[in-house]
Amino acid sequence: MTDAADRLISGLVDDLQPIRPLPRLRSAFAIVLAVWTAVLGIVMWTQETALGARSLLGDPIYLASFAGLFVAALGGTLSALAAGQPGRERAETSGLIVALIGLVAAAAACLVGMGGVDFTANASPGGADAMCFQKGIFLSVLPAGVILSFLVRGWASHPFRAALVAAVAAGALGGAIVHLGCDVLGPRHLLMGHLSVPVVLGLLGLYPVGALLRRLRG
Amino acid sequence: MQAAQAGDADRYRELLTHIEPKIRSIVRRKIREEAAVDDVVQNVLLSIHRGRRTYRAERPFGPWMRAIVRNSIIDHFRDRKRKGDREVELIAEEWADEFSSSAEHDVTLAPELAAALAALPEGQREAVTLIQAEGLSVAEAALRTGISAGALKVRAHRGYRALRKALEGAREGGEWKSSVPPSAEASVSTSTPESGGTG
Repeated sequence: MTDAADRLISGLVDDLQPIRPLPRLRSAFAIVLAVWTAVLGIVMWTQETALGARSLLGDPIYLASFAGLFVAALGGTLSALAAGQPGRERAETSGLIVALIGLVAAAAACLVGMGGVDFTANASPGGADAMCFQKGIFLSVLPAGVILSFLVRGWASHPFRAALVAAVAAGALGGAIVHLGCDVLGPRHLLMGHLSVPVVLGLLGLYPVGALLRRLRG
Repeated sequence: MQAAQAGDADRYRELLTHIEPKIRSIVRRKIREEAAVDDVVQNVLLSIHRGRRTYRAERPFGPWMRAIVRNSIIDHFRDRKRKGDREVELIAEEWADEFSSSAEHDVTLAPELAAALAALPEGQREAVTLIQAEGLSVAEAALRTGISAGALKVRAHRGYRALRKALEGAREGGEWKSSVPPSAEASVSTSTPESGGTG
């Protein structure tokens, strides 16, 4: 062993403090889902137009896009939580793939419903897209906070990838709640008002959260 | 590691001392330069320390440690490519010589160096002094300052550049023009280099 390594080990030992290990991956995942369910419950309870569940079975586009968003949320959450724990690369990669499949499937369902990429057709009334988008971002804050609280205490192998996945997962969780509580059912609206939430949040969160995780990791 | 998480310093030292050669042997398989191996090994030890919260007793220690080693090696190559590590090392070596010669020929160079050092922003001055004057490795200096090894390298690199510019300006202008602050004189007289580590 070199002198420098020996000195460093002494420094690390001096710096040692008792700590509590992070919870198991499945416990952390359950905590995020519990928070999401609580937020969903509050929204459904307080909102008058909570007809999502009613529409679910009636509209295949709505059903497919919700399923895609929810799968993206689950996969993204798993991937983000695993990203903060060394040695869990398999869970991280699988979650990431599942999240991507979910997002692509949801977008594809909306595009099929629209009959192509024509964003001028079937515009939603009264700025509904922007309203749902803002609501989605707002509802993503709490899940994002919970996911981040696990991530910042961990050691992310790929800080920027972890940040992207965490932001997309939180956005998908928020988007899914909006989806269930929205009464505008056009595929264009679902794409612009609901599915845009994880995408935009992912882009917005990528750099600041990635830089933070990188800094914390050292 | 469980004992370390509970704060048992002796067991922690035992663990780190035990795994250091294993880490070194993994790193050596991927990196040839001995100085870089030292740096990466120290970064791994630092990362294990910072990430010890993520270890769970019900999972094996080996894969957890190897994941950190693997990522530190990848980080090393990525950093090298991105920040032009070669340049940093060359400049650091050059400055190690400069520090040595300033110690040997204190009369001519020390005031210039002292003033240039004193003029650096706090973070850069600290990085340069810890690495060059105190002879700490990047990982040790990072631990001391509480910032990441990457951030410390960047600060040191900027510091070297600023020092070089200031010193070249002073040499071109003949004699050192500005007055040297007494604190700077003092800081140089105490900053005798022990070794010339790489930045």
